[in-house]
Amino acid sequence: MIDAAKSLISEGKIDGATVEQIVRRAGVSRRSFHNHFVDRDDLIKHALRQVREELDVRLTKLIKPDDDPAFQLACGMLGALDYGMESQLSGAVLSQISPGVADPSDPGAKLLVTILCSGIERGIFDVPGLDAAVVLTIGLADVGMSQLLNHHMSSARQRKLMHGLCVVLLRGLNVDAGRAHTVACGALDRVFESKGNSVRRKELTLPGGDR
Amino acid sequence: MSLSEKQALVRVAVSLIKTKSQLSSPADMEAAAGVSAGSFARSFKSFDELIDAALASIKTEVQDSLNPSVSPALDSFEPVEGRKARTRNALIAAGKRWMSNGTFDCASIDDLVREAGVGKGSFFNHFSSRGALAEAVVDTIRLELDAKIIQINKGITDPLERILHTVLVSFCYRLENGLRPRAISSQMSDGEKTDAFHYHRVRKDLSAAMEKKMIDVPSLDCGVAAIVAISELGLSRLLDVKPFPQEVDILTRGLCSTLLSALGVVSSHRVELIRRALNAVRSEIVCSDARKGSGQR
Repeated sequence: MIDAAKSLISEGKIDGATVEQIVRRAGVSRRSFHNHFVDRDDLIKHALRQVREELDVRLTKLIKPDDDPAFQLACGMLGALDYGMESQLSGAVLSQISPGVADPSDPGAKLLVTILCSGIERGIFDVPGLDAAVVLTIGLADVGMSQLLNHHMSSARQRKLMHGLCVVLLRGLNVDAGRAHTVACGALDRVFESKGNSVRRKELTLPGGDR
Repeated sequence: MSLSEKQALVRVAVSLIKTKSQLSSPADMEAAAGVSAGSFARSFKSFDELIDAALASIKTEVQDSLNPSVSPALDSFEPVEGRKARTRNALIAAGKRWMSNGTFDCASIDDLVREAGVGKGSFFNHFSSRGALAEAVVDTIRLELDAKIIQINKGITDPLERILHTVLVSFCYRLENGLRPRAISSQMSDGEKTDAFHYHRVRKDLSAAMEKKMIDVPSLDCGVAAIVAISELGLSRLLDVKPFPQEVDILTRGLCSTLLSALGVVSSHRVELIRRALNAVRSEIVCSDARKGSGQR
């Protein structure tokens, strides 16, 4: 049922969906629905919480507290993209809920806001406003996610896109180009290492090379 | 240059735009139009000229279907009676209002005909399904927005200025119409693919800016991603703070500045670029309001 709810959310159809439609999609009876959930909103809340918790677990593993905020931010965005690629349904759900998270006071943006603030305090980021920085980060992750999910790309091209998005993000926060490139490479390494996949570094040393 | 060659090419472009496909190479389009090689170069100076011609043709087509006193320019389109056009318009307007609330998915055909004040039977005279109406609404929105962007960018050659205008005009238009992010894309099969047709102009401006070394991005895709990210999510924030004009202004400047910095524009250029673009967009809005006002009188 949670998967059925997720698929409706990812298609942007959850607002109009009835319990009837959800149970039909899940292939279960209406009675068993009510064994598990109070109502439609209860189910949606569960589905969203599950996606967020899974993402949170993954990001806390990736992001080390003593890292430089630029590095933390890069790991966070790449970790979210990687999560979306692994579990495509969850990725699509994240894309659907992202507009809500563009508000810095939204609880879903808490981790991001913490990283951004510490970077701004330490003079690593220089931004016209916190909300513009949040918009850029969530927006790039969002567009990146839909590009990665909707296009069939080779894994080399996926990594190149992820690297590029990271560079654009860091530059948007006024990190200089050379440093942005180094941080993006390091963060990609960590994200793929955490999966036990050793990264083929050579693919990344020449951004802007052949496709 | 033969007139029919040109028309055949425009017709191919129109059908590509309508099916939301990307325009192919001149050679492919010549083959699709069934004209001889080289006729593209004979008929059009640039790709943009062809697109402008195609958009103009779609526009007249739409206008003709709305305005029965003008005989249709393209013989493949049946003339539409005045009452019929009004019904169609009313349905599209109703669909647009539902889409603005972000509740189009909840609206049944019954809701839509009630809101439009037309009979249910006449719905199906114009649209085969709810989805077909959604497409027509999205097309109308895109055309209106596109017309505004083309208008303001007329004669502007600086690609960065063009990009900023595009972002700002789309902010204004969507704020005015309450079109939240995804209000449009959730109705579309192509979703938010950044190579979709409606990003064609932005992609062109971006590659021009890359060529002139005005910006520094890892790839064209990343540049487009930055623009889409700022325009879509930025809009969602702007709608949140909309009741406070002062905050809308600050946030808009912040978003533009973040975008330019993400594209690698040096900070000394940013402020001036944004100031110019904001002024241009504002005076355009004042002008178009004035035009609208005088039209009403």
